[in-house]
Amino acid sequence: MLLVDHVPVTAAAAAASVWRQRALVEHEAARRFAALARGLAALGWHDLAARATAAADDERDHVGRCGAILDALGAAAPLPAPTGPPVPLGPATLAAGPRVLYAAVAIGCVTESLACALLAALAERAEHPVVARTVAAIQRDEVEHARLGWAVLARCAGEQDVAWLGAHVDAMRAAAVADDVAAGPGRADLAGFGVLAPAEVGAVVSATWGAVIAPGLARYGVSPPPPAGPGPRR
Amino acid sequence: MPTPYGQAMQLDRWFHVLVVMGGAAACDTATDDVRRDVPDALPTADDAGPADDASPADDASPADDAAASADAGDDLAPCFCDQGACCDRSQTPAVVAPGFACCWSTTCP
Repeated sequence: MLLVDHVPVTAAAAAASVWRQRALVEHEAARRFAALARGLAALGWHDLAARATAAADDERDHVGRCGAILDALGAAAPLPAPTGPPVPLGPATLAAGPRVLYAAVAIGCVTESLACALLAALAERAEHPVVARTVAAIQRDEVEHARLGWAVLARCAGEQDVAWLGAHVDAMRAAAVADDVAAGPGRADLAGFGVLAPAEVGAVVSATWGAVIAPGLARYGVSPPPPAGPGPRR
Repeated sequence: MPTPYGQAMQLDRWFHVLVVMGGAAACDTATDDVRRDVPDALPTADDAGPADDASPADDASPADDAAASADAGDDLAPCFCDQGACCDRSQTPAVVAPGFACCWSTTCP
């Protein structure tokens, strides 16, 4: 059933633009989880690597689910796909082991944890069955993906000091918001299509960061540095 | 402005589901039996993670009935639960209603 039978075409087009962007994000997430799986396997953590491989498969499945919504919105077209190799996450100066941890935290603890909360909020607002089914299915996977990140962090923290990650937390959050959260069209009337208004997104992100992610990171000694002060007065 | 997702209980549940359970599972290093939502793959009290404030005995014990539902996958309807009861640690054992899958991907300790 075409959702556009029931809504203004402009709203459908706006929602479709978001779901098209999400398909691209899911593509990229699949590549990042695949890279994470390789990194974890290189560390000998094959159980976690297997979970990362499964996560990559999940993300590829999500691309198809996004496509189903685009079909329902009457916006069927070849889905975008990233080109070139995935961009490694984190500073180039990081060694291989720390880079795996950085990636796991950035992808799992930050991005996927935010996604879980946002999808939960979306689930409460989704009005159309195809959207509701898609949101529910994706969220179920994202829970596992987020937990994978927390698992990697916990295991690393059990072996070494991971406080150095604190210097990168703000950058991780900024990247997650930019990539996955702020792709909306700035409209407040698309929640039924799985697109929250920017103010709602901001509220969910802030609440989740403050109550879940930041204290979660702090459990392992990872805290962002305090904001820079105004500097010495002359 | 009230947040659409700002209820303290909801966020507390997310912390438990993601951070506590995710971190505790890290100490299960078996490679062959690690599966999602299967009680054997979940931690025991002896598998506590490095965080001192975790209480894994309370936080990570699986509920077999819920596991059976959660493991059944797409055959079951996704359930966003009775959020006043499911996964609420004050009402253990929480359950997933028959015929539904747990959207939290957990076994509702």
